[in-house]
Amino acid sequence: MMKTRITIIAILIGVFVLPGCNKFLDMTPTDKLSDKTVWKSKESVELYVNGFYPYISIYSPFGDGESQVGLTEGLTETLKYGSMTPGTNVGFANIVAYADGGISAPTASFHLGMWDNLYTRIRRVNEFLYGLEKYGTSLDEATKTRFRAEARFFRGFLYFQLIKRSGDVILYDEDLLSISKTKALSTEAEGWAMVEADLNFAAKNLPKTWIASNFGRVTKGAAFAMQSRAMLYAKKWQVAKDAADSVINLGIYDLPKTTTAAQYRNLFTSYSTGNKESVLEFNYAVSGPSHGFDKLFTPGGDYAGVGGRAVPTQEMVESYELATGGRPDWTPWHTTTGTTVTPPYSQLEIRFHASILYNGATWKGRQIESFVGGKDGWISFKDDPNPEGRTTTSYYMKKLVDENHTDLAAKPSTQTWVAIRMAEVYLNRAEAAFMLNDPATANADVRKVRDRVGLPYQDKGGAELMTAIRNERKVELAYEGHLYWDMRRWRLAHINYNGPGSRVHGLKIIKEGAILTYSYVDCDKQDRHFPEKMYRIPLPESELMNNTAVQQYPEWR
Amino acid sequence: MEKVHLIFRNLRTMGAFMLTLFVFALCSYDAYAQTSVRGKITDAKGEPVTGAAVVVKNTKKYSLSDLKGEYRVEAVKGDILEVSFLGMETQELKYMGQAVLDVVMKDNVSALDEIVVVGYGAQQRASLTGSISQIKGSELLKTPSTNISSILGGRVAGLASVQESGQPGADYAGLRIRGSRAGVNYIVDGMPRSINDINPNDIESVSVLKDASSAAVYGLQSAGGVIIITTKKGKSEESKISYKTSVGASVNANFPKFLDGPSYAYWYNKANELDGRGIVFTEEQVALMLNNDPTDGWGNTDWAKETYGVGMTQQHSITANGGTDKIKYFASLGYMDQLGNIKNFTYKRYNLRSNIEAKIAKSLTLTLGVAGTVGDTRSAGYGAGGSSAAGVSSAPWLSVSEQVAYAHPYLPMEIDGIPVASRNAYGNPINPVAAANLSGKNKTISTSLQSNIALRWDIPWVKGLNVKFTGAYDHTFTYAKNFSTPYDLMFETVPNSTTTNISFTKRTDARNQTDRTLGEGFTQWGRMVTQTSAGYTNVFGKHSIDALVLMETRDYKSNKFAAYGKGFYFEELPELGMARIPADDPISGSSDANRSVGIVGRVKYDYDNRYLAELAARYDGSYKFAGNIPGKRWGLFPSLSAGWRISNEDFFKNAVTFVDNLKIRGSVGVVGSDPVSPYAFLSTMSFIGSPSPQVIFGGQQQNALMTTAVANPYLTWERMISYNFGFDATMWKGLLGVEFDVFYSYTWDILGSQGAMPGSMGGYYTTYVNNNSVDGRGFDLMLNHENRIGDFFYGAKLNLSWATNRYLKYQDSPNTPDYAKWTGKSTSAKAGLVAIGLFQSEEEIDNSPYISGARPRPGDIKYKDLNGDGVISYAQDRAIIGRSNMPQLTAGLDLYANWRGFDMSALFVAGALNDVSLTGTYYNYVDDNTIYTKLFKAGANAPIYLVENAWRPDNTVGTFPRLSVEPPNTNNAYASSFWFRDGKYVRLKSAQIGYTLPARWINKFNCSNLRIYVEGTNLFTLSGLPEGIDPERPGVTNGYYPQQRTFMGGLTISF
Repeated sequence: MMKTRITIIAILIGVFVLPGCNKFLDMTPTDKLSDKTVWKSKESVELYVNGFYPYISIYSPFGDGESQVGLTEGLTETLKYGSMTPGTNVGFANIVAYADGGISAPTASFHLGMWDNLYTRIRRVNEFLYGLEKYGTSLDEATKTRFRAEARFFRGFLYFQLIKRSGDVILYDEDLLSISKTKALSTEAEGWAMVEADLNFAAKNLPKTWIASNFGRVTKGAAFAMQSRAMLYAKKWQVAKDAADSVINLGIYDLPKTTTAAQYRNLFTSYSTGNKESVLEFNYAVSGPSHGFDKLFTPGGDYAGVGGRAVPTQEMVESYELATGGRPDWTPWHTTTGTTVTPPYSQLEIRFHASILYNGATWKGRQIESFVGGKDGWISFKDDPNPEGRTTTSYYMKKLVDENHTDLAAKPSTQTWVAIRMAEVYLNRAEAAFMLNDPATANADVRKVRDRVGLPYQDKGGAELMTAIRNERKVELAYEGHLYWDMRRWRLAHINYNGPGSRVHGLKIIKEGAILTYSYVDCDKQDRHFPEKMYRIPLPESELMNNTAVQQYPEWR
Repeated sequence: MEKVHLIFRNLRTMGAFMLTLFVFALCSYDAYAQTSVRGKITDAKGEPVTGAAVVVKNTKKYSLSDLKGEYRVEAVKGDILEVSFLGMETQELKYMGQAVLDVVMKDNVSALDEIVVVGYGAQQRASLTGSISQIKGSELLKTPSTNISSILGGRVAGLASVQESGQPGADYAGLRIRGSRAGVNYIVDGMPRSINDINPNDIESVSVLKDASSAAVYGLQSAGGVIIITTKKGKSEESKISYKTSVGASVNANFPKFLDGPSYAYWYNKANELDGRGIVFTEEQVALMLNNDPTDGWGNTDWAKETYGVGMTQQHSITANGGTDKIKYFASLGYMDQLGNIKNFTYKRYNLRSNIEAKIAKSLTLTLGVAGTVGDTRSAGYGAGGSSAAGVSSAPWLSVSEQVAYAHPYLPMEIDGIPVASRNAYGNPINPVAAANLSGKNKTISTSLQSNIALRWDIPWVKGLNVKFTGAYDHTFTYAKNFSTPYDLMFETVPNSTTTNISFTKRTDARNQTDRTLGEGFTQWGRMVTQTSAGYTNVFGKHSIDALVLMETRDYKSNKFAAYGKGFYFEELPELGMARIPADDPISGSSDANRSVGIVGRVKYDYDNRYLAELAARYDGSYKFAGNIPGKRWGLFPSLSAGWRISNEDFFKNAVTFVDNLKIRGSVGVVGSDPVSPYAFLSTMSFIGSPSPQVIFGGQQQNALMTTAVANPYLTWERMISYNFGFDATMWKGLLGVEFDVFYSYTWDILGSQGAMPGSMGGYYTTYVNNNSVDGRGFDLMLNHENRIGDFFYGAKLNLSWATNRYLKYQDSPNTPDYAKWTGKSTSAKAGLVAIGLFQSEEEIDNSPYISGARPRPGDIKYKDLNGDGVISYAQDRAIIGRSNMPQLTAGLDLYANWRGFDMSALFVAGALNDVSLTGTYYNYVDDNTIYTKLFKAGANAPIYLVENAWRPDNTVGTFPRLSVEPPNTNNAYASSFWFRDGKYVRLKSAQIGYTLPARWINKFNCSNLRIYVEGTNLFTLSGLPEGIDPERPGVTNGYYPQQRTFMGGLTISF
C-alpha cells in the first residue's frame, strides 16, 4: 500500500516536477543580447562595427595602443620624458632608450610589441566578418559589402601595426576555425600582401563620402591613404605611389594654405569644419569618447603639478628653419657656461610657432615661464625624481595640445585626432617616387608641402633629395607618431639613437632681474642604446610559452 | 590512566576543601525557620557541592548550599525546586512535603545529548557520523563584536578567519573551512542568507559542517563547507525578559610608526647625500618645524595621531521569550552604534527578530520567523581604505588611510585656516584630516526583511511520518546617497635639491572636481526559497530510522537604479532637485536574476546506538549551465557516512572504564559548485562601456557592441569528493574530551579560466572551462577539559587544525620551467623572484645578472637567475616560493572559569605556516612596492623600521634596501622572497571578566539575574613582522582601516 503511494509520488515528481524545474532554470541575461539578435538589422550591425573605430584613437598619440612608453617620439631625439619612474608617459621611454645592461626580449616586447592587444582586435574584426557571412543573411548584398569593407579596413590597419613591429607574424583571416594554439609564423611578404589586399578591398568598396549623419566612417580616401603609408613599410613603392595618387585624384582633399601659426594649427581640426587636410580622423566629446592628452602635456603652469610629461628637445627646435628658409646658427647657445643672448625663436618658421612653446611664448593669455623657478619651471633631469609639470629642456609641447582647454581639472580633452593628413600623403608619394627613380614627382611633392607654410625649396637629387624628404617628414609630421617608426624602416635608428652623439639637449634658463641666461644642458646624462635586433620587436613571452609552433626570432634568441 | 584519574580526583577534593574554607570566611547566611525543606547536595561521587542554588520556582525563595553541601529553603508542598550549579546539570524536583530532600547532581557531560543542527534537521551529537562542530550562542558572546563572522575565528577547529578592516560596518572577517578554495555557504534558519547583519544576541547556535557528507545535502555551493546559524526560539516556560548593554572604546590595534618632521628631514637629507646630491632640509628649516608657528609653512604634525582617534561602540539588546505547550515565542530588539576612530565613519544597526511556534491543531505545527535589520553606514567622501575584499571604497589609492602614510610630517595642519596638503604618488594634494572632514557625506541605508513560515503536519495515520512546507522570502532595500564636496587645500611645492624653499598654492582636492556632485540610488533584491519535504522517523526495536525527502527552489531578483547631479549652490541642500547641471552620466539602472532547484534525499539508520549509517544525496540544477545538452545542468551529489560507538559495546565497557564515550566515524561524499559568471554557455553581445559613447559620427555620439566571452555550452559542475575519518571521545567523566578528524578531498573539473594561451589566438577561446584539479588534506583536533573544584569551575578548549592543498593538474603553459609550474603547488602559494640578499658593491653587480634596463646599485636586492640566461626577468626567473597568506596551521585556546559569581574567559588565536608579503598585492595579484617597502615612495613619509634598517654604506648589514630617494627602481618592487615574512602569530583575541550579582541582592528588584562585565579584543599580538604590521592585514597595503583594539564594559539583566 505504502510502497504503491511512494511509487506514485515518485512518478509524479519525475513526470511533472523535473521538466518544470528545467524550464524554471532557463533564464535570459539582463545585460547582454544574443548574438543572433544583433545580425537581424542593419542598425544593430552598425553598432557592432562601431566597436572598431576606437582603434583609430587607440593607435594615436591620444591613445595607449602604440607603445607602453607613451609617445614613441620619446625614443627619438625630438622629445624628452622628464622622469625615470617606471610607467607609461612617465619613465618607460627613458628606460627603453638607455636599455641599461642591454635590452631583453621580454622588456622590448612589453614596451613596443603590443602583440596580444593587436591580435585581440584582429580577432574581433575576423569574428565580425565570420558572423556577417554566417548570420547576416537578412541583410542585402550592398549593405554586407559595405560592412565587409569597413571591417577589412580595420583588419588592414591592425595588421599594419603588427607587421611594422614584428615582420614575420601569424596571419588569421575570418576563418575562425583555423585559430589554434599552435600556429606558425608567416613571412613578412605574406603579411604585407594581406594588408594590401584588405586595403584594396576597402578602397574599392567604401564610398568617397558618407551622408552627413555617417561622417567619420572610413572612406575610399582613408583606405588609399592608409595603403600609401603601409606600402612604404612594405617597400612596395609602386603600390604606395598609386595609392597616394588615388587619394589626391579624388579631389576632395587638399593642402590648405597657411600663413600664420594659428592657421597651421587648424590643420588638426575636423574635415567637417572645413579642414580639407583631414583624410582620416577621430572625434571626441566631453561625455565620451574623450582623451587625456592635455593633462599630460600642457605646460606645468597651467595646472599645478601636472603636465609636461614629455617636452620638445633643443634638437627638435634646431630642426625648424628660419621663416625665410635655411637654419640659424645655434652654436652660441651650445654653451654650458651660459649666454644672455635671446635665441632666434621669433625668426623661425610658422610650424615652430604652431608646435613648440618656449620661454616667453604666449599661451592661454600668459607667457610661458620655463626658467628655473618660473611658473612653469625647469628641473635638472634625473636630479629631481618628480618633475610635476616642470620642463627639462625649457620647451613644452604646443602641437596637438588644446589651448582652449582651460578646465583641465574637471574636463577631459576633446581635440580631434587627424590620423592621416594630406601632407603625409604627399610625403608618402614623394618617398615612393624617389625610390621609383622619379625625382620630379618627389621634388614637386616636397615643394608642395613647404610651399603651404611659405618655405622656399630648391629641387634636389639623389641622397640630398632623400634627406630633404626625411627632414620634411620629421618637421611636418612631428609628434604624430611617425618618426620613430620611420627611423626604424630607414635603418637609421641604430646609428642615430645609439652610443656617442645620441644624447638630447635642452636649455637651462636662469632669470636674475630681467636678465635671462641660457645654458646648454645634457638632458640624458648617459648615452642611448639601440641594438640592431631592435629593428624587429621580439615575440612576447605569452606566445613563446604557449604556442609550440613558434620560436623566438633568431636575433633575440 | 587510572592514576591520572586519581590525581584529578585528589586535586578536586583538595581544591574543594580550600575553597570551602574561603567561602566559609566570606559568606553569611540568612536564617530560615518553620515550614522548610532541607537536604544535602552531593555530586555523583557523594562529595558535597557547595554554593549550588536552590530556587523555589515562581517565588523569590532560594538558598545556597553550604560547605557541607546542605541547604534549607521555605517551600510549600507541590512547589518545584530548581537546583543549579555551573558545570552541572540543572535539576527540577517536586517537593512532596518531606522534611529532607537530598539531591545528587550530575556533572554536565551533556555534550553527547546536545542537539546539533545539521543540514535540514537536527541530530543528537552522539549519533553524528559526519564532521560537524557546533558552538553555542552564549559561548560566542564571550568575544565582544558587532558581527558574527569576526567572533567565529579561533573557536572551531578547521575554521580560519582573517579580518582585514576595522571600519565600522565593514569589520567582517573572511572565513574559510579547512583551507578550502571555495567560500563558505551560509545558512540562517534553514535559508541561504548573509550572516553579518545578525544581532549576535539572537544566536542560539552555530554549526560548522566541515566534511562533504554533512554538507552534501546542500549540494550546490557547499564545496567550501557550510555554516548554519540558528536563532533563538521560545521555550515553554515562564516569560523572561533580558536586557544587555555594553559600551566601549576602540583604538588602532596595530599601526606602524612613521617619521616625525625633524627625523624625516634628517633621513631625507641623508638619503639625498647618499644619492650624491645636496641636502634638502636646512637646520633653520628644522628649527622652524619645531617653533609651533604654522605661518612659516613648517610644522611637525603626527598625521596618524590627528586622523585616528578613539572610536566608541555601544550595543543594547532586549530579548523576551517564553511560552506554553501551545505557543512559544522569542522576540528581540537590538541596537548598535559604532563611531569609528576616524571621524565621520560610523555604523548603526537596528535589529528586530521574532520567532513564534504554535500548535494550531493536534498534529499541525506552524512556525513563523520574522527578522528585520536596518543598517546605516556613513562615511566621508573619501573611503577609509581597504581592499576590495572588505567591500570598501572604490579608490583605495586616495583613501584616508593612505593619505595618512603619504602626508608629510614637516607640514603644519593648516595655513590661514585652510588645510595644508602634501603630494601623493600621483602628484595630487592630500591631507587625511581634511579628507575625513571635508570631502563629503556618503550614507548607505540598508533595510532588510527576512521572513519564513513553516507548516508541519505529523500525519496521524502513519506513525513517524510528517510533511512540511517552508517558504521564505527575504527582501533587502538599499538606499545610497553620496554627496561629494570639493574643498580647498594649501598645496605644498615639495622642497627638493633645486628649490629648497617650501611654498603653497591653493588647489582643490585630489578628485579634481569643480562642482559638488550627488549620486542617489536604490538597489533592491528579493529571494524566494521554498522547501517541501517529507520526513519519517521511527524505531523498530533496536533499529531506528530517520528519512527525509526534500525539494528546494531558490528564485532571486534584483534591480538597481541611480541618478546623479552636480553643481549645488548650497552644501546644506544636497538634493537632486537642487542640482544645477545633470552629471555627465545622469542615470543608470540594471537588473539581475538567478535561480536554482535541488532535490534532497537522506536516510539515517541506527542500530542499538552502536552502528550508525547515513546515506544522502542531492540532485541540483543550476541556471548557469546549459539545459539543452544532457548532463550539464543537473548534478547528483551523493554521500555516505558511518559510525561505530565502540563505548556502547559490552566488551569495551568492561575493558576500558575511564572512557565514557568513544565513537569512530568515517564519511565520503561528493559536492559541487558553479563559480562562473552566468550565461557563459551562450554567445552574447554587450555594449562596450555600460553603455557609453565610443565614437562620434556626424557630430552624434554613438555606442558600440562587442561580443562577450566565447561561449562554452559544455560547462558543467565542478565536483569535489571528500573523505573524512575521525573519532570522538570523552574520558574521565568529562575531564577530557577529544575530537579528531583527518580529511582528504579531491576536486576535479574545476571551473576556471583556460590559463595562459598564445596571444595570437586573440582571446578566441572559451573563457570558462572545466579544467584543473586540486587535492587537499589536513586534520582538525579539539581537546577540551572542564573541571570543578568545589565551587570553582574552569575549562579549557584547544583547537588545532592543519590544512593544505595543491594543484594536481594546472594549466601551466607548455614551455613553463619546473620551478614556475603551479602543478604540485598550493593553490594560494606566492610566486616571486628568489632574493639572495642585497648587492654590496659595484663589482658584485658587474659580475651578477640583473634585470635588463635597470642596473641596480649597492644596497638593492640581488636575485637568483633561475633559468641561467644571464639576465633576471620576472617572467622567466619567477618561481613558486611563498606560502599562502592564510595560515596552514591555526589554533585557538579558550580558557574560562567561574567562581562564586565571577566568571572570566580568554581566547587566544594563533596561526603558523604562512607567509606575509610586505609588498602590496593588488586586487589583480600584481605585487608592487608600497610605502611600507619603498623608502619615501614618491616623496611619502616612511615607517621608522624601513628607514632605520635600510642598507647604507655605513650600515651594510641593513635588512632593507638602500637608503635612497632615487627614482624608484623596479628592481626592488618585484614580488620576491626578500619581502616574504613568516606570518606566524599569537594574539589574545578577546578576554572578558564578569560578575553575576548574588540572587539575594537582586531578587528584591524582581530581577532574576544581573551580570556586569568588562571585556576587550585584540589585546596583544606577537608576530615576527615589522612593528605595526598586523598579521591579518589585507593584501593591499597602500592603506586600510586598521583593526581595532576595543575595551568594553557592559551588563546583562534578566527579569
